[in-house]
Formats: sequence, structure tokens, C-alpha cells
Amino acid sequence: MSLRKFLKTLMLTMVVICALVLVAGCTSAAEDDGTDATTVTDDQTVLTFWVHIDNLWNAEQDKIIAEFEAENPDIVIKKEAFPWDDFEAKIQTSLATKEGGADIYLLWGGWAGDYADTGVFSPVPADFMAEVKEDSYEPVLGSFEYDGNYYGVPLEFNNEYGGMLVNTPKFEELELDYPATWDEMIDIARDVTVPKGNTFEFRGFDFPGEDSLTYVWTSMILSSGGQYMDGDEFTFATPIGIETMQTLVDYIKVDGLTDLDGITNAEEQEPYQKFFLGESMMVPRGPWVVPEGEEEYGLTYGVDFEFVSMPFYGADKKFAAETGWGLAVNAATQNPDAAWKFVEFWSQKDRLLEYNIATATIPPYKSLAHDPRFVEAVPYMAPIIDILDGGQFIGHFNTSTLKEEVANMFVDIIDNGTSVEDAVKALDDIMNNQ
Amino acid sequence: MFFVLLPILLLYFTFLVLPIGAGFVMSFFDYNPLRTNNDFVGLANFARLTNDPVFFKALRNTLYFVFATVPLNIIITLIIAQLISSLDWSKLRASFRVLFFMPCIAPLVASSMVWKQLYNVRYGIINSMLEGLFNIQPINWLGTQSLVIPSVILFTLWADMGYNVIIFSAGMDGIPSDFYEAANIDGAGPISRFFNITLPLLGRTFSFVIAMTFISHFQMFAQFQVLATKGGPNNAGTVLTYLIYKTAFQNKNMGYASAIAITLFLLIMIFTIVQQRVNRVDWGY
Repeated sequence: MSLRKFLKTLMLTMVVICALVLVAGCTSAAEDDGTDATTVTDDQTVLTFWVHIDNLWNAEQDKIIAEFEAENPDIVIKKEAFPWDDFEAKIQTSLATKEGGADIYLLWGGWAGDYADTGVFSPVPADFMAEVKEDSYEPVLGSFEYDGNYYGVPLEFNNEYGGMLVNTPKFEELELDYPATWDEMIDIARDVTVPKGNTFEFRGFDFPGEDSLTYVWTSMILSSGGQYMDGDEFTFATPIGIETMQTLVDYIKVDGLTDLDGITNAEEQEPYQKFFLGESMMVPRGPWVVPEGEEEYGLTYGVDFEFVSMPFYGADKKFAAETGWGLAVNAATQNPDAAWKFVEFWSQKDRLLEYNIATATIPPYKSLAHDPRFVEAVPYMAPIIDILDGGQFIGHFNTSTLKEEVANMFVDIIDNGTSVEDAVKALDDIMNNQ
Repeated sequence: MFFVLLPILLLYFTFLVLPIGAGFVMSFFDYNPLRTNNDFVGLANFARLTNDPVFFKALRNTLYFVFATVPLNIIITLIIAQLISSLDWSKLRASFRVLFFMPCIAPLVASSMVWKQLYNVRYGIINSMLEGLFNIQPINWLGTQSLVIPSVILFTLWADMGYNVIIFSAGMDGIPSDFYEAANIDGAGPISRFFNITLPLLGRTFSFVIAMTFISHFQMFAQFQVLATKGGPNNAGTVLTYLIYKTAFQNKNMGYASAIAITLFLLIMIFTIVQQRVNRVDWGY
């Protein structure tokens, strides 16, 4: 019977596949630091600490944990690192069950807003918070604050505006200086762009990226003296909001400086990744991408590319920034004192500076950002440091939703011919109805 | 006898009935699992559906996907099953069935990832072939609004054909050979035999295949999650299942997500009832 034979063959194939999957696929979801293998004595407090997998960051975290444990032999920190794609879901699930999970979380500020009103995180002790607030930039605390309390301690100033990657060899070849004004930047982009059929051989100014489109637009609005929010209401549909969006649309439709690849995700490459492959002249992005260019793409900073100041569109050097990475303590932890002790230990100025230098992140504290040791160790941060005071907290909302909706609106205008005014009004409606 | 069925009933109740009931209740709340108190909002989540352009876009995309894919799937699998059944050598028939069933064994997420690479604009094999053979400029398959759903349909046809090929093959094998012998004596050719014997006598199989294929296609998620990243450009690849996931787990609005899920549940139920009545078969051979 042929069907029976088929089933036999199928069963055999499935058994072989299952066996292979069992052998090859039984990896643990999280990479832990092997604390289980070491002896934990009865008088020691064990704290679990959840982070996402990032080789550079994890190495620095391990150093801090080792220093803390050496200074506090009665506390053991058990670090567990999860794949980036699963990290938020893991945090969310662990907090929803009100048990299990970690004592301390490395928490993205953009997520913090979703948890702020749920009481799942422990408020930062008042004395400690007073010290943190005194020296912090405004955006680094924004999402951690709710109803007068703070639920996270910042580890960085997450900046996606004010700097851009520039293709050094191309600038040298064309004997061009890096642009000092917005108009110069666009003129250069127009001159160097080379289209190729439906796509590009070389992009002049590749700004439509997952983050960069929203940050470029909001900075254009703020630097022109406008605002995109009035209290809790989104108000992109102002004359300035519409004019600046029209300008960005024209860079695609009229000037043809780039296309929408960066926000349609078709190639799974962000504009900065295409830049590192030598496919573009200028790309706005945060300074955190510089180590990636060196380590992942084997490029040499100063030879193959540089990170320079990006000119502001308007007269004011203003931009929006969301709250970046920080540390939060689970409200259900059995050891809140030990947990906060670890957070305070990490937040000590010299230690945090060392961490920011090693992870190429901008310090959240003014004193550290302007500490000469920082720019000396990470010279490409210099253009960013000078503009940090112009950073404005982006607002209490889910920033991923805004970025996604701005990208959808941009595609709608470019591809469907929807008028900028209608599209921007629709964006306000969508965001205000979230 | 009841005790023998009890374990499976418990399993069914715990993992199917209970979640559906919980989802139904949740749809009347502004529900966030992280909160201790969640407000009862009555029908507000359902009222919001009527004013949500993304929901209507997702509904339209879902219907487009289902009503394009299912008929194509059935036509193609029927032809393949007929061709396989017409082969004389049983080992060859079994080999072809295995071949067509292979994509069904592979996890949908894994095969979606592979197809995502095939669709890549610059480095994908599809664009390379089109450019090499026909000098067609690279096409942004997954990043163009009008192409994202057709691209997912093409993948789904490839990935999901195997089941129906097997079911149709089994149905064809079950048709008594007397009918074909009589038709041969009457001088009927292969096409005439297919339309006058095979197709009508596959009625029960057809009814089952249509119902199951429609239901499964309404519920498809993995390929949309992988291929139409973040719902595709301007939500052109957003279907109801993806919208439920996004609303529940990204926007953490499980009440509204439950309202969308209940709507999808009702849609599938109504469609299945209608389809079962239309395709009712009350005869046997």
C-alpha cells in the first residue's frame, strides 16, 4: 500500500529529524555566569540579574559583578543573559507572574513606561535618587519617573541625534570638507548619490531608518522652534511639523537621495549597516554604532569612516531623546537592600565612567560626560557631548509605537501619494488614540 | 468509558476551552497582566474596533490572503495528487508524496527565514535569477506594499501543500476502481475520468480539506511575523493574527487584543458553518 509506505518513510524521516534536533537544539535559553557551579554558603545572599546578550556589555558587567562580590562577600550576583529578541518578553512574563524572574533587571527606558503604573518595580530609595537627579540630563530619567517616584537608575544617555557616520575615503576622494550646515550636507548628498535601477549604487544621505527617521524629524521640528506634543497630546500637524516632513519627503521624491529600504526592512539591514558596507556617504545614528563598524565590519575608525557632528536643521540645537538603559529592582525581591546596594555600587561615578567608556555609551551624568577622561578615551563622542544640554525627553509613551507609525506614515506619503498634511494629521490621531 | 476519555477532556478543557473563555472575558476589560486592578470597560474594546483603520487593514489583508491562497492551494494540490496517483510504480508515488510533504515537516519559522533570504533585494536568489535571465531590476518583494502579501502567499503555497496532497491522495486511493474500469470501457479519457469520477467522488474529502485549509489559513502567523517584518510597509502585511500578537505583547493591551481575537474566532466560526452547509455531502459509495 503506497500510503502506508509513505507514512513509514515519513515516520523514519521525522524520527531522524527529531533525534538531530534533540542532539543539536538542546541549548539553554539563557547564558548564566556559572554561579550555580560555585559554592554558595548559607550566609550568602544570592541576587539574580537579568541582561541581554551583548559580548561587549556582558564582559563589563562581569567585571563590575566581580568587583562587587569582592567588596561584598556576603552577596552573590547570578547574572543571566538572554537573546536580545526574547529579552523584553522574558522580563514581561516574569513580572506578570509576580514570582520568579530576577531581583535586578537591566531595563530599557522605553519599556519602563509600560511598567511604571503597575507597581512591579521598587522605587529608587529617596537619598540615592536625589544624588542621581542632581547630576542627570533630563532625558535619562524621563521614562523611569511616574507619579513623583523613580523606578530605574540610568546607566547611559541614549542619543540618536547630533552625530552621523561619514564615508571618510569618499570625502577625501572628492576633496570635500565635512558639512557644517544642513544645506551643505544636502548639497553634498545630491552630488554623490548614484541611483541604480530601482535601488541605489550609492546613497548620499540615508536617513530613513527605524530610529533615525523619527529622531531626524523631531529634531527638525524642535530646532525650528516647534513642538510635537502639547501635554499628553501629539501635535505633529503644525505648520512646522508639516513643512519639515515635506522637506524629508522631497529628499526622497524630488532629490532622490535614498529610498525606503531602511524602514521597509526588506534587506534586514539598517542604513548604518549599509554604510559600513560602503554603500552610502552620510548616515545619522547614535555613536554606539562605531564599535560595531570596527568589530563586526573590520573597519578602521578615522580611515574608513568617522563619526562627526550632524548639522541642525533649524537655529536651535535641540533634539528629542528617549530614556536609555538603566537598572531596576523587582518590587517582589526578597533582598531589596542588597539589590539597591549593587545598583548604587555600579552607579558610583568612576565605575560608571569606566563602564561607559568600555561600552561606548554616553554617561547619563553631566559631570561624567564632561569629564576629560571620557572624550580622551572615546574621542568620537566629542561632537555629541557639546549638544547634550539641548536634549529633550521624548515623552511618556511607547517610543516603538511612534517610530513604527512615523515609518508607516512616511511609506504612505511616498508610495501612496497621500498628502503630507493628511498623513501627519492621521499620525496625530493614531498616536492620540493609543 | 467516561473515565477513559477524562484525561483528553481535561487536556482539551485546560488548553482550549479555558483560554477561549478567558480571552472572551478579557475582551471586556482594559487588561494588563502586570496591573493588580484592571477596569471593566464593557463593549468599549469592540467599539474601538469599528474606528480602528489598522484593524480594517488587517481584516482586509487576512481575507485577501485566505481567499487567494486557499483556492490556489486546493487547485494545485488536487492536480499534484492526481498526477501522483496516476503513476504506476508505488515506490515512485511514495517518493513524490514524501517530497511534497517535506516542507510541512520543517518548522514554518525556519523555512520563512530561508525564504526571507531568497527574497532579499540585493543578494536574494530570486532577484539574481530575474536580473540574470531577464535583465529585470531588483524588486523589493517584502518592502513594497503591493508585493508583500503575494510574496507570503507564494511561500505559504510552497510550505503548506504537502498536507492536502496527502489527503487528496488518500481520498483518490479510496475511490473504488470499478468506476474507472466502467469509464474505460465506455471510452472515457483521463480528463473526462477526472472531472466525472474523481472530482465528484472526492466530495467528502473536499469538504474536509476546504474547512481545514480555510481555518488554518485564517490562523497563520509565523510567516507574517518573519517575512512581513513589523507588519510590512505601512501595515501592508499586517493580518489579524499579527495584530493580536502586536496589540497583546508589544502594546501590552490584552483587552483590546482579546476583542480582535474574539472577532477572528467569530469570523472563522461563521465561515466554517456556511462552508459546511454549502459543501454538505449526504451520500457514500
